[in-house]
Amino acid sequence: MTTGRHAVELRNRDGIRLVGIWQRPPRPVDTAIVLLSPGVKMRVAPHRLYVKMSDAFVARGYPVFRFDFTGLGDSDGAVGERLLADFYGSVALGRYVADTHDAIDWLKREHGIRRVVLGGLCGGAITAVLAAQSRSDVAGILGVGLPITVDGSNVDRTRFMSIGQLQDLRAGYVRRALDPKSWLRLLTLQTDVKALIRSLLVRRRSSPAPTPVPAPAAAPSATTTPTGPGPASAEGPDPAPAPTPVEDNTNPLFAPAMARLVAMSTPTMLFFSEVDRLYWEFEEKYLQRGQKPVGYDAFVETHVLAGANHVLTFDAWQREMLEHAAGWLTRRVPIAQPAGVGGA
Amino acid sequence: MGERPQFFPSGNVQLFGVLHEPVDGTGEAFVFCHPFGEEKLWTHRVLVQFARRLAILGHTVLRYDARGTGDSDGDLASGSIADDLADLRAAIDFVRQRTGQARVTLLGLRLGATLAALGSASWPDVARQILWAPIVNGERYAQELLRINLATQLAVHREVREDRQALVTAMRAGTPVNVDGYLLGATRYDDLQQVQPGRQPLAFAGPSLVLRVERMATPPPQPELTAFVDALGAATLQVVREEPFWKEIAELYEEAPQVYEATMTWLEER
Repeated sequence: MTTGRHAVELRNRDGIRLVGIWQRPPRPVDTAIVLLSPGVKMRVAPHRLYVKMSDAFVARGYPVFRFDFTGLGDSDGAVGERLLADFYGSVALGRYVADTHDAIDWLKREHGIRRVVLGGLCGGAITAVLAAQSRSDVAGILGVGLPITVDGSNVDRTRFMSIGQLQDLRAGYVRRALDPKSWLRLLTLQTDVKALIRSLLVRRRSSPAPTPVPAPAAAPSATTTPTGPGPASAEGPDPAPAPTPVEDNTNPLFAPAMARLVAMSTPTMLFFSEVDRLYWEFEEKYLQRGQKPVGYDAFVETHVLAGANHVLTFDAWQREMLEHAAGWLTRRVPIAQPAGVGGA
Repeated sequence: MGERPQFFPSGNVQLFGVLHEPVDGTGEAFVFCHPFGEEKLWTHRVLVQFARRLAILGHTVLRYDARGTGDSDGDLASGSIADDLADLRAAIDFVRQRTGQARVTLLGLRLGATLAALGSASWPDVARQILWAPIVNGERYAQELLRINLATQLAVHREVREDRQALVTAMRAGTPVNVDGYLLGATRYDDLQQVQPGRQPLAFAGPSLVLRVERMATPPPQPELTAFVDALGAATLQVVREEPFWKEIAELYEEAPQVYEATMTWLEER
């Protein structure tokens, strides 16, 4: 049997039972990798990619936790959407951020973990980015095939927004209230009326009390001072940049989240597959639109897997990703033993 | 009612499974057999939810991952149908030992249904079998798996660099064929060629339910399926209207209502 692997259960904040696999190396350390389910394909991912990732990372000394979100895999709960695209859209807008936070808290509480690297493929990658932006205990992001658009025919982009995000959305609407183009968009039904109403109805946020973010673990090439929003609290709403105005299907939550991660000096490793529309979308709808915040290049690394498809079907692509990810982990998120813990 | 994720042995391999246990354990014992490859992931929740329905009715259900799949140990590429049957046998033994039941009901989907039929034919402790959309022509199914590889080549290379013959030749020389990231080895490929009515004993002493899952209300006859059902013996064949939820479709399939209803009705009649 694979060393140190356990089937485990935890309860999320709503009392829903989530099922996962906790895999540990012989030597205890303070940093764990959490692999977040991609779409509906649960904690193993397509062709067991997460099992392969877990084995590779555990072999390098990192414990790995992968679990099923509410309504997926072996966990309790239900999804509810009738169409896959609508479900994917809800994931892109943060459907599983709360489950991710609960899993991190569980790891800290039950297994002495101090910080985590959030990783995942596709829906798991965007969930990692959205979940990390408000946590000071996320030591890194490891995203594969990150989608920055929102799929779906009937997606309520405000459904999973925090109060802070809704207030920022409202601020954006207010700023554009005197712009005739905005009224034209409203009158021609191009405005997301549901989002507009919900943002106007949200209660005023009490003054936030952000917790200082610890110094970055490593920032080898940082030559600029990160700017943008202030530091995040340990968990919960925090000062946020205005979401990107939605002109197309670009995820309005993505650019602000990346700005926060850069401001928090969070090392981020993004893998894209060359033969994948998600890579082209990332290039065209994020990088080429000048959305990169100051300091981006110091903390965000991108690696394009030549010829690869979205799910890294062939072994060579998987090996390339795993080897590069291992090198990035060693450089940017070196592991340490918990205080008071001896050797193996 | 409770669900226990856990590992259990099949020979020297550890298999992952979830045991659904009812509050009132007076019902029967079931073992579920999953499909192959990505079909396993697309159908996962349909099997989970049906297991939960059975547990509510007082039954115990074991869902497990065969070796080299899901969270189980083992190497898929070197596996065989015989290995899959050994894992199914281990799952039956495990649930019998946990419940004290003398006999079990097998429920399989796609290739898992075919495995269930192959096992039931020789195991007297299988009381009945429920086969959802079984693979009845293994040769054609193996060709479909190869076609998936060809489609991937086309998508990423804009051309087929290794045709079917080259894939089979390479497989026989020890290089498994990549099917959506799952490795198909020569032994399993050859085993699949033998999955045909008439080539392997399928006669089963107990009752069988075979569901043909189709989009259309009145699909055209499928002689191979009829031959498969005939080979089982006392089998009921029903057509149920449902989308092919074992592959990527527009709908998100958490449950398969028509499949569930037909199965529940059949179970209640027995």
